[in-house]
Amino acid sequence: MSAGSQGFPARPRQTAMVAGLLVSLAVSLGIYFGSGRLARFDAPLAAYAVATVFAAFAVTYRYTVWIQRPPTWVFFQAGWRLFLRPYKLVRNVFRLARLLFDNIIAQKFIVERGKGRWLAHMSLAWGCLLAFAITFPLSWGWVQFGVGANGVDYAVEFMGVHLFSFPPDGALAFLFFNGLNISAVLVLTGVGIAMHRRLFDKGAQAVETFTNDFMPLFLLFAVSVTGLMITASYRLLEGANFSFISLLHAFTVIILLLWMPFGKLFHVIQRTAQLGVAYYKEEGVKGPQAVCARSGQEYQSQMHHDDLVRVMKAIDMDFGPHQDLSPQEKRRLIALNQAAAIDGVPYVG
Amino acid sequence: MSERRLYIDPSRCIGCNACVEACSECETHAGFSMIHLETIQRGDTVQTTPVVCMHCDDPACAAVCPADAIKRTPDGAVQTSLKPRCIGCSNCVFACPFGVPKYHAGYDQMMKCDLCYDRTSVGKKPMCATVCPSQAILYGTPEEIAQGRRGTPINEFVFGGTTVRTKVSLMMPHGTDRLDVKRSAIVRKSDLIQLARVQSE
Repeated sequence: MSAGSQGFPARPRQTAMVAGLLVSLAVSLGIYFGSGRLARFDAPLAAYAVATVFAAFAVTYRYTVWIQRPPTWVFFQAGWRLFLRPYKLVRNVFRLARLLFDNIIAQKFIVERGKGRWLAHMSLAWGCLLAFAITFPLSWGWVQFGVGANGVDYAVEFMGVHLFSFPPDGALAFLFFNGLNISAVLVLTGVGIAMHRRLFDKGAQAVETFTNDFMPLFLLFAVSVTGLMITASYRLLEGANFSFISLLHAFTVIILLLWMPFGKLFHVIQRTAQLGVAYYKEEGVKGPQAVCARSGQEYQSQMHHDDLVRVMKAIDMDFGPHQDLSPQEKRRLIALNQAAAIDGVPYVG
Repeated sequence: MSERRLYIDPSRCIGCNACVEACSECETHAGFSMIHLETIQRGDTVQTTPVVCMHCDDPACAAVCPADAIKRTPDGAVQTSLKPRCIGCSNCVFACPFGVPKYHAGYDQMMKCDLCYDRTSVGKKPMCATVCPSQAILYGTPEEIAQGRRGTPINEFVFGGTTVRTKVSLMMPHGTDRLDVKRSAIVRKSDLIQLARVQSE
């Protein structure tokens, strides 16, 4: 039975191709118009901008294919349906703020796995997000620095509109000038802790792979170190090898951007599904419950049961009435069936 | 010598809980026991059974995962969910026909038996098999099983008409080649007493 006949998307790849092209077109138009028809576009950063357009296409393509898989589609649809119910919308928005804080900003579920892991992940996540927040608008020609009205201050302009000015020797100036250095230090802290775990934790060693677990750390390390080398070059070495280092840095960043849609970093995008699932689970607890056909006990929300049965049929994994059993009864049933099959002594031997 | 495999024989289980304790020593999920030790039908029988992941060739848990978080290694071990991906939806918990995956609310993540991959990938026995005193869980070669047991290992199960093949084997009476799992299979204490009487006469 094809997925399309079950109320699931029939042509995921075509849809994804269209979505990917539309988003990369939107980014391109955003760059074109946001930079005043390229008047404020910083030509040396063009390679970065092109890489972001490609990354936008690939991330959207993969995301769209992913959400159209039957099990993902169920949660995607249900998450939005539950979120957008008019009489619950206000409550849901507040709940979203809370979920965003817990799961995305503070990443509380990682603390439970270990404080070191949490520190590593927070450093990596915020280092990367800070760096993206700084570099994307710069490479798109959206943000520019000019000279303030008094001829001394730095003026910050967004899409050609003057936002604010700051003196070149204040705390704000320090943060602005060193934003990327700060993010590099954060990322390197995270890489260090994560790499230590990858190298010395026996459990991690057993299941880690080069492409999935080391490659992202190497890439982030390369981007951060070459970025810091740029600062070192003009601050400490009077600009020695500056053009080579900035080329090397650009190369590492572009590799990172091109690899992002295909590798481990895609989980940043996938993580958003956790929010929809939270609404789904909340709703499930409130609604009617599925009752196990053997034990008579409630074990799962009826909504989840029915959705899962629909998904399993769509992917040709129909276990029939077996799906009406709680996990515990399923576990017992194997031993019971073995016992029932034993003719004579109740012992297989 | 053939490759060693995992064999489960619920009829040998004495419910000692050694496997449950040993399981949490596994490096890949240290502190958490992934094995289930189930009583079968309290009141009717004292029988218990260990339940480990059967490591399906085409795992239902992975197929229903909305986040592509469950992977199978090239040698057929179905891994616990990938931490960066698992979104804690519990699809796998309810789709697994053997009832194996566990949802851990604190981590908002599913965890399951991964055949002690830190050990079996380097030729060691899984923790549960190292401590099982009655060999209800045995990690050995098909030759060892053929020599030492009267029953036959099977790794083909039928659930509601759908066949599931597994890496881990279940011991069944000699001559069995597959198990059609029936919901109605029940062993009652009275049946066992009757059986014991017949045999003692």
